[in-house]
Amino acid sequence: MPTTGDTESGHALEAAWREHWSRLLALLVARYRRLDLAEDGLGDAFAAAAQHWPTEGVPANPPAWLLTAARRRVTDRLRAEAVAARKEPLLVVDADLSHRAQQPRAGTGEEIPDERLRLVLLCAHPALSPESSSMLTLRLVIGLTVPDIARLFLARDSAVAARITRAKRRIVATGMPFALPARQDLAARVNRVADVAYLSFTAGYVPGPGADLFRADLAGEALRLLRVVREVTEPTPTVDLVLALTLLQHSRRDARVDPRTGDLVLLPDQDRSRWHRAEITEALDLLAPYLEAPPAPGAGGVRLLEALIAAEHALALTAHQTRWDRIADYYDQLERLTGSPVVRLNRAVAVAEAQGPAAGLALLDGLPPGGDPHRLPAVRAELLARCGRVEAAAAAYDEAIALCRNEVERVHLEQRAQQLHREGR
Amino acid sequence: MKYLLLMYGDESVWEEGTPEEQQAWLAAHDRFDAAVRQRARMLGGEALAGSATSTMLAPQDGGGRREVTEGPFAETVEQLGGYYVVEAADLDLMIELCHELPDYYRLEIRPIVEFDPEGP
Repeated sequence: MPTTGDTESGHALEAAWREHWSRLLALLVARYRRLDLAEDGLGDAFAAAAQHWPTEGVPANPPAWLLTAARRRVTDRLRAEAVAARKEPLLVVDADLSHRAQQPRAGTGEEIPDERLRLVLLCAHPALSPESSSMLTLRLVIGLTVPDIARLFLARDSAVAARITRAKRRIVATGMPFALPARQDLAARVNRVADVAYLSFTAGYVPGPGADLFRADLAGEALRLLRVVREVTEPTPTVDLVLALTLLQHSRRDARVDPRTGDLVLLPDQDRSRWHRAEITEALDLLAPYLEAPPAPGAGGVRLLEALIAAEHALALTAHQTRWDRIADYYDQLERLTGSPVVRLNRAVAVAEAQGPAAGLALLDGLPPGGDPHRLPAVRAELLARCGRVEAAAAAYDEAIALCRNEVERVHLEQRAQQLHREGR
Repeated sequence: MKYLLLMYGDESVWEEGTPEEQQAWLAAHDRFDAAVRQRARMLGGEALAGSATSTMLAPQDGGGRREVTEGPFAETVEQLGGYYVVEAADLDLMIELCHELPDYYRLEIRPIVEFDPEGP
């Protein structure tokens, strides 16, 4: 991300980066068929803007300025390479698209597929691994730098840089086209983009090892990608539902951590006035059509149920008003669709709220651990405590604390265990 | 781009297939061939004799003549059964053409490196 001062040019640069990076990159790729040169050239153009705009003023048309600067840079590089007589393999581009990219932007009329869509779909090609897809998408479509991406994925810069370079080389070497896939493959590819966005989003919210509970910035970038996809394609249920789901989860970011202590604040204790209401409203609007006509079974059904659960929480004005019976019912449907032990665990929590802790505990019997290893003993400890089985609860808390690798969550578990100890005396 | 298309499968599937099934598989190869001729270029391809006919030549430690042994390396069920060489516009077209081939194959698409005759 370009550095931004509190200046007009800084804001203009930031806005240009957010709004135009992917479109400009897509135009450069379409014209020059070289992912590497397009990316370097655009990066150089932004660097030049950061240098020139503060002194010379913000140009009247920032994206046009950036495109011209990037083209000049790419042309210089191509000329230098031509002198060296090197022949690089080219990205496969529709002849038609390559031609059009060299013309001024056509007016309205026939439907013109957005170059950004081709870029997004290229990054989501099924012949790339999901992780490579995510990193490449954040780099090429969102325009994050390698150190940004490394920070978000808790990986080393060099590892991420190597991964992205390999993915770009693979795109060129295998002949993946910078083109729209056949109609029957398009929806599947767009849905993969949604999955890539959701992977990035959850990478931001799953507490990793270390001190940070979650990384809202990565989640925010994933939301931005979903908005780009919705802007450039016909909406699909998967994209709509993933966007709704991520908006609902993201809307609670400010309330998840106690601003004074940095401690984790669980859903029932969150200050609901700190939830982002506009995002909740947007998500509920997105969900509305699918309540009338649910999507076909498959991934869409899973996302719908996950979004409906998040929506029930968002609709409850206080924790007390949460309709746990409906949430338990959604989890029941979700468990039948996925067979996931993580879903079963969440269902047990909802059932405990709706029907009492004993009913929840019954659902935990014989459950294999899934997801975070400390989650199952932590939930069992809580439910045992509510049943008044203090000794069993204390043992389960000890087990959970030993398995927990996130510092903020471990502090929370230790506090619960001490509280239980005091009450038990 | 030129691609090598490798077809892996359980050899017993062909051997144990009914004459009707074998006819259907051959027809699938014909459809693939026709689709390639229409939308890409067929540069070659052959069916291979069973993996029991394979002969391996293993390199020797410290050099010297390779040792000749029987059979393929891996004791896997899936064996390379044949290949095609196709020139196609891009990977997606190759993938689409592959949908014509008999469904018991696992397919591998590998680009063929083309050396620039004027290059270094």
